[in-house]
Amino acid sequence: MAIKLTTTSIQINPAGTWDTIAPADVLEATGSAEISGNRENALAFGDGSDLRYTIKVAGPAISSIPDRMPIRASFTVDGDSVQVLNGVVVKPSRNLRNRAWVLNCEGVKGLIGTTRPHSPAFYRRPVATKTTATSVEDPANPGYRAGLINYGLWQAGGRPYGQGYIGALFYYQLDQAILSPDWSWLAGENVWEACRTLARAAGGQLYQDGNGIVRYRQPLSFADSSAVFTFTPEFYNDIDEDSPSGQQMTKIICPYVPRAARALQEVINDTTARLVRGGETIEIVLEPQWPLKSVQTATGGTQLKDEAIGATYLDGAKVAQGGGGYTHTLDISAQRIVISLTNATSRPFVVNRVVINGEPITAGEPGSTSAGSGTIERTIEQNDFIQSRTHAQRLCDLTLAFYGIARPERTLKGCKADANRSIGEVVRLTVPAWSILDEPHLIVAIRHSKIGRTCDFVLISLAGLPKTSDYYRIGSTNYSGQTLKIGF
Amino acid sequence: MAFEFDLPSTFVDDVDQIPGAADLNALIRAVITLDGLSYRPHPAFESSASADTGSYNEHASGDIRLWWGGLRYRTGMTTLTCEGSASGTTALSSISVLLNGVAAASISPSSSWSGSVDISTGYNDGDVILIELRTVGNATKTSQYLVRDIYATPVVMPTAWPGVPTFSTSYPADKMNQLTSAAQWLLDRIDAVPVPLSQAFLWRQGTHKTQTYTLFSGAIGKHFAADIWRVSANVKAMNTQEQLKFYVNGVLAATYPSALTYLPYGQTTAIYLPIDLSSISVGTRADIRIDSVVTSGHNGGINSRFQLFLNRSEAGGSGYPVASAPAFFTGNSSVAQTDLTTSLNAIASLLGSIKTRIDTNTFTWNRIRAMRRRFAQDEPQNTKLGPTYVHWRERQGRSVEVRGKNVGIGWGGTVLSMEEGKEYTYSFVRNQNVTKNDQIETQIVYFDSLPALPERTPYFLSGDVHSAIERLK
Repeated sequence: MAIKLTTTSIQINPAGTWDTIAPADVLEATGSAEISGNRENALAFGDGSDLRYTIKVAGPAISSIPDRMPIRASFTVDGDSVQVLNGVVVKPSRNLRNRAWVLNCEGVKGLIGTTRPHSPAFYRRPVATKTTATSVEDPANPGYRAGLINYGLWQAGGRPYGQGYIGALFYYQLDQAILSPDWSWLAGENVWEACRTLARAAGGQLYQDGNGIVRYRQPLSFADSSAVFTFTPEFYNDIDEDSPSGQQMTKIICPYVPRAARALQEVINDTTARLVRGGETIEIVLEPQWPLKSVQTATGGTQLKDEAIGATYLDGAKVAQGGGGYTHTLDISAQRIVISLTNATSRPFVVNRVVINGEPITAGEPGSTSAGSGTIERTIEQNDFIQSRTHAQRLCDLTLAFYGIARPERTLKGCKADANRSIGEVVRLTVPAWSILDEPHLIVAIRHSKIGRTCDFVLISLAGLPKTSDYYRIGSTNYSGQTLKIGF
Repeated sequence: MAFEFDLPSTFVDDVDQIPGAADLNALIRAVITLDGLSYRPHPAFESSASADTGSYNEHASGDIRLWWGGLRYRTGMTTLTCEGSASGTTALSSISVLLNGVAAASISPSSSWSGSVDISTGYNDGDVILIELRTVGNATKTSQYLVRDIYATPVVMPTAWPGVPTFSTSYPADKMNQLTSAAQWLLDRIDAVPVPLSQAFLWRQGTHKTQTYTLFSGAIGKHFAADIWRVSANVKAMNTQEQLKFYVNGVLAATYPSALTYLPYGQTTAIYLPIDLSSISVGTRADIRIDSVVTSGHNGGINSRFQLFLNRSEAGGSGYPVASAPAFFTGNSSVAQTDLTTSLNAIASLLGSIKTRIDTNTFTWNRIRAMRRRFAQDEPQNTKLGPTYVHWRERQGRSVEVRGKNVGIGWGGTVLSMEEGKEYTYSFVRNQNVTKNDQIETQIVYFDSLPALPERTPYFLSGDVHSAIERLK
């Protein structure tokens, strides 16, 4: 067997530019990329990914490590280079005698998770919309119709892969989700966890691949990719096969909580007294009990109605809206209204009351539905984005199609490092001793050892999974004479 | 929650969007709902009640109010039309049409009179036009006036009909979205002709004398071939010989209980009576009248009492036609391309048929009818009879737009207090204020914000209601 030349490249970004650490100073790089949120089931809907690497670097190579310093790592094997880490340093440590830094790193979800944006309420939008070379991904664009996962990732600093953005914090590439909640919104949660919740509500998975791209795959796409590579016995030393007990089910139950937009009504009645000195600007942050479909504003939509803000000077006189009293700007999200209010006079006044009308999106009576029968029963976790019986039923049917049979997890151990393989890729597997021949599998984890000379591949069988090409699709494709499936 | 109308999310080309069974079934359900909505019962047009409020043939001599009510103006309306009949009128007398208190037209009374007013300018979308018809120059107590119809035309939609697609071997987004748009447009079109509320008679007093006492006069429209005239009432007869008689175009059409029997004395009788309209052409109205005919009265002077609820045209016998819709799809199931195309084209065809049906039936779908305010000649009577003539409807849609003063909504059953010789009083199990007590305003009541008011539940509006129309949306 020829000896493969492997090099490791580590880049850090302590102050806004990428610096490459000299190869001689890279002492060790070990880690893995896994779709691994649910250890019982690597095909679990919504599942996030774990990118975890430990990189040991000679001490003098790095002078300081700022909090959550961006870091990239790539392995080159026989001239083929693959980026295996695009993330942040979460726990740097060093030792005097060893004169080395040990950098514990994880993927960009550590960065994404620190972003907590607020969004408008979206009605009947797929949780993710497909990113293409021309899809509108900037929420500020008047033609914006992207999904909430798109919105959250953009706000977290991500940019769509393939649209020519340079220097983004990270890139994302998303499939079109096959299910849409009635109402979806972000209200300051951890964006990564919120996106995973959305992915669970629609089926499919959210993960960061080894190239650092954050991907959402709708569930029918798992088995739809054409495999370009087959693992045959010469590529692996050994295989462990596990069949986690928790993944199979014969009956699935899905709870839901209906949401509906209600009539225009008072949604904020804030009586906190706020003193505003002459010329001062204050920020009033209001959080309605329910997310809002809309907020009542004055004509033009950028100002509250005059009667919404009650303010008086210290002598009791009413403060007028406008240049002779107070001016204000609005930042309206589904579950937060920020009023930036400026005293345009030299006299102090007190804001006594803020009353705002809007159309709240309230929750109805919870319900549940199910699919299948039998004794192996599972319940889908309560999810704010499963809001109708129809949606819950579709998710039950989809879940049962995926988890109605057991799917073993097969770990190919001691494989040669292969720069062309990535998590989320569909490959074929042949294991003659187990009568497995060219069976499609999904790579759900790649675990590199040492400096990437060998790795383990964790695969899940895709045999029998429904796939996108089994179904009719919206578009110009001619289906004359064919018999395909209608979706869930 | 009542009246669900669910449509698929937007379809998008070339993003591997898979049309789900739920999406296609939503379109099928929408078509079924629209087909049903394109036929509907219509309340009788209310002209007048009994003599104390000026019945069609017994009223004060001198000039009287024939009719008053409200109509919600919508952008595009150009003409207000008033129609009716009259006989035995004073020579050279006329009927004055007042809009918001200002004389707008003068009509010469005849056996079939009609007049119109240009309303194309002077009104904003959503304004409620107050309409009143009064006699001018009437000098007799027995002149007969009946107001048959008051309506505005045309109905103008803000967007054009999107048409319906034809599918062959592919399913592009523009055609799929066209189905959705067509369904939504039809719902909007149907909702553009809202049904005004009508008045329930809540324990209205009749007579104790030997006489023919007119309880109601007005007109019934034959909107569809299957229509009959339906009356639902409760009668507490306090006369030993009393019958109810129902007239269509002046001809006796039904007698209750029968020509040879009388309402049971001292008992409350529930009436649910169908009256044939086969002699009436579709697209026309017939004058109707309900009389209490007493041939032996109550010596103690206690009047009979009447509750009148349903007084409308509705489907008789086998009901309105029902279109045959495609079968529902099963999720994740195989469907031949030819079958899928056939189903989608069937949906498109049904939508087109509904559009044609609406366009053809201009009598129903191109006239927005005014609502009659309480049977009363003046404000004191309007107040006194507040508990007696109450606007009502069985909930079908999602909201009711109300304009008036001191209006409340009641539902959930009534608690009745009865004392003979006096007006009955009652209260509703559930009620809520709608408009302010001291000023006229417009409010929208969303039924889902009220507890225990599902579809088919009656609700009642108390107070001074100028206009009340129920909306599907």
